[in-house]
This record gives sequence, structure tokens and C-alpha cells, in this order.
Amino acid sequence: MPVAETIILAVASYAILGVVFAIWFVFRGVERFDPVAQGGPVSFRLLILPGSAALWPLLLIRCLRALKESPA
Amino acid sequence: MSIQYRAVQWNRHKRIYDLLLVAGVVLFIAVFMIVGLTRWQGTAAAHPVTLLMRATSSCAITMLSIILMIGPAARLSPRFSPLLYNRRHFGVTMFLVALIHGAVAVFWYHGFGIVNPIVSVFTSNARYDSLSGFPFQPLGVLALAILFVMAATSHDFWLKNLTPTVWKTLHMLVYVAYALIVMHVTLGFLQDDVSWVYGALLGGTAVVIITLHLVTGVREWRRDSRDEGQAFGEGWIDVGSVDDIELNHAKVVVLRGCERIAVYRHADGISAISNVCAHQNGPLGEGRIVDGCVTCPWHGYQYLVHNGQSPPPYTEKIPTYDVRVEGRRILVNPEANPPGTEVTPASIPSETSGDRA
Amino acid sequence: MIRAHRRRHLVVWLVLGPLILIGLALGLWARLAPPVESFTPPSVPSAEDAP
Repeated sequence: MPVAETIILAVASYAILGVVFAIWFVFRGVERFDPVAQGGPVSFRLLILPGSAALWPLLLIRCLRALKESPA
Repeated sequence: MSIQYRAVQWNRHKRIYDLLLVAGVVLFIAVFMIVGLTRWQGTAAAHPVTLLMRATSSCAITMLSIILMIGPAARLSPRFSPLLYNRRHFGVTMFLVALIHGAVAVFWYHGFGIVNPIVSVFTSNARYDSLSGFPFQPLGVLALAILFVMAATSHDFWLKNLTPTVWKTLHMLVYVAYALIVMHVTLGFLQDDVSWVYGALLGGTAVVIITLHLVTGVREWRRDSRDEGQAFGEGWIDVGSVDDIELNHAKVVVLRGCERIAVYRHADGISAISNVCAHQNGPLGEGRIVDGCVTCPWHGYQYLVHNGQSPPPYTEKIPTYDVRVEGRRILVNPEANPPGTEVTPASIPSETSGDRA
Repeated sequence: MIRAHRRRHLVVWLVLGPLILIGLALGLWARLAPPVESFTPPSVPSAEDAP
């Protein structure tokens, strides 16, 4: 059934992109995103990794918006 | 309250809670496996992997049912509040148990064919028009996906950055997950030749959960209409008598049909603050003053009663309201001050001077 | 705002509660109704799937 395979391929691509984004986000991006996260321990960063991978489009939009507002 | 994020904000109570939680899960699964292996033997014997699947699914659905009962139970009686305090860890643990069930099921039933196991879950049975032969597996996958997003966004980081409103809405999806799981069990396991006890257990629990939520929902609605403040003139609202409120406790009042405030009586008089905790929207008026601070009954966040600010180094702020006392009546200005605004507490006249006429 | 949120819980349960109970009842009724359909093993195409 190609429909099912297409959907699962789409979900898998979303997840892979999410994981790549999340690794950057939890170690770099989050510092600009939330001042409270600055210098947070690695355990905290790993804990927010799955959520960052799942919600990556939302975080990406927010990161881009923050970049536009402060072009420093 | 946090000035810096940590992975898990453990304290003594949470450690005890988590220890009991993990012990409970291990005990549940162990007893289930031992009873299963000894009771069903010969032709009725179940494979240990099948038993593990049943043990983890029974454990997860039991935990989810308890989780869904904690909320309304705590609203009905404060005795259940300690369970609410660390419900987050309960939820994440439940997701992990459900994940084991899902992973074992996918690889045990779908992992040995030529079709990708995940694709197989959705396509091996396409009888979406049948009831007793309905492909119940996708229902479980959907529920697990919802539980994953919830578990992944459990940290306070997400509560703050998704905003409490979005976060709460996202986490309300647990109700949908519960409905999916009930159907997953009904159309899956219960369609096999199994005892009616299981169906009765599932149905009975569902009835209890639904009734609890409906009863508390209706009760809150009624209470809101009853606790409505009365207009006093010049925009002030009469919210009741100072004698209605115990020292260091509060009365929850609804202003203009939409906002809830907590009117606190303390050593310096009367103060009014928003009833909504900045952390998870907990009911501040159902807490009390501990060490000079209003303390949220849900997770112990604290605020100074005269300015709605968390004591340093914490930075949470909630709106305050102007308040005055006329005779024994408390009057509140329904226009909220910006979060963290200092308001002088209204002093309470002594009993005798109260009835000057 | 918070009050509207609490109302939403009530509305959600007013909708979801009956749905869950109806689903459960239908599922249990389906099990009673003969004939019991046999389980098709995964990856084996059944006659219904044939074009």
C-alpha cells in the first residue's frame, strides 16, 4: 500500500530533520531562546531533546524571529 | 520556581514518590508475569513475550486511569493533593511502560515479515469497515504518539516557552489518548476469547473516570455562579465579609463573571491577588500563607501577598488588585494591576469599631 | 481566561464521555455477534485485498 508507505516516509523525514535540528537547538539555539537555559547542565539539554525534535518547526520559526529582531 | 533549569527538580518528597512509583511498576509487572506463567500451563500457556506485552499494557492502563482520576479527586478533596504534586513523574513513567508494550508488540508481531514493521502495523489488517476485526493497532500507535509528545514536553522549560495556555491545551490531549486506548483494548484484546471480567474492569473504570470529571466540572461551574462578587458602586465589588476568611487563608471570588481572585486575610490585613499561579495555573486561593508567602497548593510556588512577586531570587509575578475594607465588608477594584504591583493591604478595623453607625 | 479553560474540560468530557461509552458498548456487542471473524496474519494478502 503506497499511501501508508508515503505517510511513514514523511513522518520519518520529519523525525530525522527534527533530531538534527534538536541537537543544534539544545546545545546552541536554546541559549538565545530562553535566558534561564544559559549554562544549563547537559542532563537538562538531553531531557528537552525529544521535545525539540518533535516540535522543531515551531522552535525554528521562533529562532528565526528572534534572529531578525536582534541582528547582533 | 527556577533561576536555572535542572534535569529533574528532585527533593525528598519527590524522591519518595518516585521510589514508590518505580517499585509499584516493577512489582505489578513481576507479579503479573509470575502469576501468568504459573497459572496458564500446557495448551493454555502464553509465550513469555506475550505475557510481557499484557503485563506492560495492564500496568500502563492502570497508571493512566489513576492519573486521570487524580485531577478531579484533588478538586473534590484536598487529601488527594499529594498525588497531584508529582503527577508529572507518574505520567512520564506511564509513557515509558506503554512504550515498552508498543515496541515489543511491533517487533513481535510485525518484525519478522518482509514488510517494514511500522508499515505492517498500519497495513497488515485493512478491515477498517469491520468492527470485531477492526485494525486496533493504529489506535494504540496514535495514543502512544500523543503520550510521547506529552512526556517530551513535561519539563518546565516547555511550560514556559510554549506558554501555559498552549501547554495545557496540548496536555488535554491525554483525554483523546485515553479514548483511543479504550478502543484499542476493546477492539483488540477484548475481541479474543477472554473472560468478561476484563471488559467489566475497563468499562467500570471508564464510567468512574467520566463521572468524576463531569461531577467536578458541574460543581466548579455552580461554585463560580455562587461566588460571584456583588457590585458596590463606583466600580468596586463587594466580595464578602472579613469574618468569612480564616487568618492566613483565602476566599476565592469571581469578578465580572470571568476572573478568579484570591482574597487573603493575613497579619497585616486583607490583600487580593490573582487566583492563577504563574507556574501551572494552580488555584492560589486554595493554598495558604506559609512563612509569610502565599503558597500554591499544587507545586508550592510562593508569592508575597502584598505585591504578587515571588521572593528573590525567583522572578514569577502575578497581578494584584486594589482592596479596601468598609465596616466588615471587603471591597475589590476589579481592574487588575500589572503583575507584581505593590498594593498596601487593607487594615481590618477591630470588631467594636466595625458597627459605628 | 482560567475559568473558560476549566469549562473546556467539562465540555471535552461531555463530548468524549458518551463517545467512549458508545465505542465500548459497540465493541462488546460486536464480540457477541456471530460469526467470529478469524485473525489474518500480517503480510499475507487476503482475498479482499486483491484487485
